[in-house]
Amino acid sequence: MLDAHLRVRRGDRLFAADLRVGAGEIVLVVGPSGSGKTSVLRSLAGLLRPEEGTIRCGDEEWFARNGRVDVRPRDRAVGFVAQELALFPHLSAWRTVAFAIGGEGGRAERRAEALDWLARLGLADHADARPGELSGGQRQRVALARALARRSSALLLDEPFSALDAEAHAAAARVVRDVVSERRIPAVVVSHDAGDAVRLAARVSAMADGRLGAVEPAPS
Amino acid sequence: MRGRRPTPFGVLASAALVGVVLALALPLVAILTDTAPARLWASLRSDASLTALGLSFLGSGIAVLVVVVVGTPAAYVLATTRFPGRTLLGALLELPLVLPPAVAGIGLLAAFGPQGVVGGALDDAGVRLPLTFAAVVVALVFVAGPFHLRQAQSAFGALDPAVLDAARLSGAGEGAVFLRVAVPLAAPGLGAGATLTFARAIGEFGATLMFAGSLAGVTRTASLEVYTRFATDFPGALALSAVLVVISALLLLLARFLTARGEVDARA
Repeated sequence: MLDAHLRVRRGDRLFAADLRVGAGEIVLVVGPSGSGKTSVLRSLAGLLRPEEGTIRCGDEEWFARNGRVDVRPRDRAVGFVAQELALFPHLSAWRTVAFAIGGEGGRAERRAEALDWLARLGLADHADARPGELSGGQRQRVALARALARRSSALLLDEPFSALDAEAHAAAARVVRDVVSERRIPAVVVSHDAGDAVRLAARVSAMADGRLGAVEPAPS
Repeated sequence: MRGRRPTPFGVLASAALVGVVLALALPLVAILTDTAPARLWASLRSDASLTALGLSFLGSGIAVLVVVVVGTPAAYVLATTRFPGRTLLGALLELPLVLPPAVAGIGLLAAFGPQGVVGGALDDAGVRLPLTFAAVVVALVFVAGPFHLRQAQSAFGALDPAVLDAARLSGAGEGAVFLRVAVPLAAPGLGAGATLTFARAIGEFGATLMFAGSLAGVTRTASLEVYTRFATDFPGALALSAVLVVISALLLLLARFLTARGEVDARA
């Protein structure tokens, strides 16, 4: 369960969010561009510091008491896709994914696991390509693979499908759905495509007037 | 169709460029053309020249190693964190670039000399720095180090913060972010900085002379050897100077190449 109540300031604009995402549940955050979706997601990841509020995930307190509790992004252990992707320019696709696997296990095991993630997202043939050699859609899927490969307690994905064609979009959404239900973790997906609610079987939460709340039930 | 005529400004600016090239290149070309190849070879084979060049390369090599190992993480902190007094500190660290060499030498003596700020403590511990090879290295680090610090700072400053954040979010600790992401991405800039530092160290003269002296075979580097010879053996001084010109030119070319590569990488 991800439970967040926060206010975050960007310049002279103030955004507020009330969000509860259950284990194994996906919430799709929709809203016009510039409405603050990304700021809220970055707050959840620990990249932006809210002015006030609380963020809890499972038994852990990530942010509380006006910042006296403020867990570092790394220690929140989220699978994160940034809108700008932020791939490692010097690493091939499989090394990028292996970077997020880290931990125990030898290089060969990490490589095998990384290749498996790339294959699930249809990138088996591009494992040795660096970001500069990939198309926009391929780069986006490498970023998604890196986020999913991380041993995570939540997924936070900012427009993870925006550069994909219909077929790749549906396939990638299926992988996200599978990971969320396998791991029983909460996921927040920012998207401008309302169709993702169906693809992800997600509840929809709309960002309007700087406020995120008013959760609608999942479409049947 | 009529071809475009050069504009008056274009002509003036081109003339200025020719002037700059002549002013800078003339002494260098004179050094190279005044040195007969046979004379050069004979001079270079002399023990004093070889020893001096060896000391220059060894001292500069050690200095670059020290500067890279200590200066690179320091530049990373300066480039990627905001703290009060950061601009002031940055300017302070670049001060040795513009100090008169004599002032740098006096500063080193005031710090590490027998009556210096830490020199006394060093003396008590049985360490005497001035007039030793170690003093040469200290002088080179002090005078040439800022070149690397400066270049490394701008290389780290050009990195996309989102990429460093992505590494953290992928589970990397700060040390791994530095070693596995920041350093590889900044590598061309770091290489250029180290090369410039080496080039500056090879050319170092004033601070070394004042702080380390000019003891043949101990602290007399190539540039000090040129100075020693210039009164008694001008052709010999000229020959050694020619070698230094060629070495410096090659190093600067390498630094340029690395900087250009860094800019290409940053755009990719």
